[in-house]
Amino acid sequence: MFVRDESGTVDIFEEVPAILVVIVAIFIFLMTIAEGFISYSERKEEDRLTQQLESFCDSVLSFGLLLFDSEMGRFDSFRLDAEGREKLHDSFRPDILGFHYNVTIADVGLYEEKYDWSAGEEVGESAMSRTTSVPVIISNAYGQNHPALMRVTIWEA
Amino acid sequence: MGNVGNTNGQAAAFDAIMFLAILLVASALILGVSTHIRQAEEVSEFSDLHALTARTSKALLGSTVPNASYVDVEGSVIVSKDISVLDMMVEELLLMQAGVPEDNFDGNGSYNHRIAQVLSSLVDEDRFQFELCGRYMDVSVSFGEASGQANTAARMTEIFVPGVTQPIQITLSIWPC
Repeated sequence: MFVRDESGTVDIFEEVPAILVVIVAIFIFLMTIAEGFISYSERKEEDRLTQQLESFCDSVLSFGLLLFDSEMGRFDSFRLDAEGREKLHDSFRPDILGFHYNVTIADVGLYEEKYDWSAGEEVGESAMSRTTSVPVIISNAYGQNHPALMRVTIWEA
Repeated sequence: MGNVGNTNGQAAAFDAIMFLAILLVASALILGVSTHIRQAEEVSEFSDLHALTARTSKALLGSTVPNASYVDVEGSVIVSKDISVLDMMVEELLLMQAGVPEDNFDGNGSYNHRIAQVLSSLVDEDRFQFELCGRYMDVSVSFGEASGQANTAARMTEIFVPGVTQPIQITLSIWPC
């Protein structure tokens, strides 16, 4: 014999607060996992680009065709010209490296004559790019050593 | 009225809250691991700071300035052309040890002024602070802020002057702001 009461309805409503708490708990946990995963992925990608930047920066600092007396980090003012730009491009081609780059050397010395120089491409609008600035020296034939800052930016197309 | 007064709902809520607590602990663990990875990266940044200090030291000490001057013991202004920062510091320390007052190297276009100019042009002062310190026997000269932070990277260059056993020590320290 069926009794027309509301016991089934009451049982369901007893579980509603518990279900809501469980949903909130799962939501928080999944959000944390998603946040951790996204953060880890981004960090891994950034690390990879940073390592490429460090490696590329060291390669430019020791690129013999631009150096004075083959000394790492000491550029020859005579070689910082269009020809030097081409030599750098021929030795470090973006299609082989897997990234694009821009190298800018800013003469920050106290001399009137400046040896500012740049090579590579104009810095592109990329979501992922890395930049570093390294103190270097630009030497000339007159025995002057101009302090300079070499700024290197790399990015992926 | 069969369901009045039972505790089924409370038991379910208790289980759900326990479940919530366990997941919160798990979430906290995940965040903790993430923080640990960040700390490991800070160690990497510190090694980068050492590389930056070494490169800055090399560029700084090797750089030359068009002219720089000091006043000798007799009051004459001595002007040096195309002199390097390293040579200026060595000369200044040797002269100070010989009795030339430190003030004789101050002023516009002086040794100290030129050294400070080159130093500030090579270090990004928005991100880093620095101290350049030279010592020789009883005298010393310094530029920039006094260091002393835990994550300070330093690079020391020693110059041995012929006939003197004590070396001239030039130390560049760099640390994040």
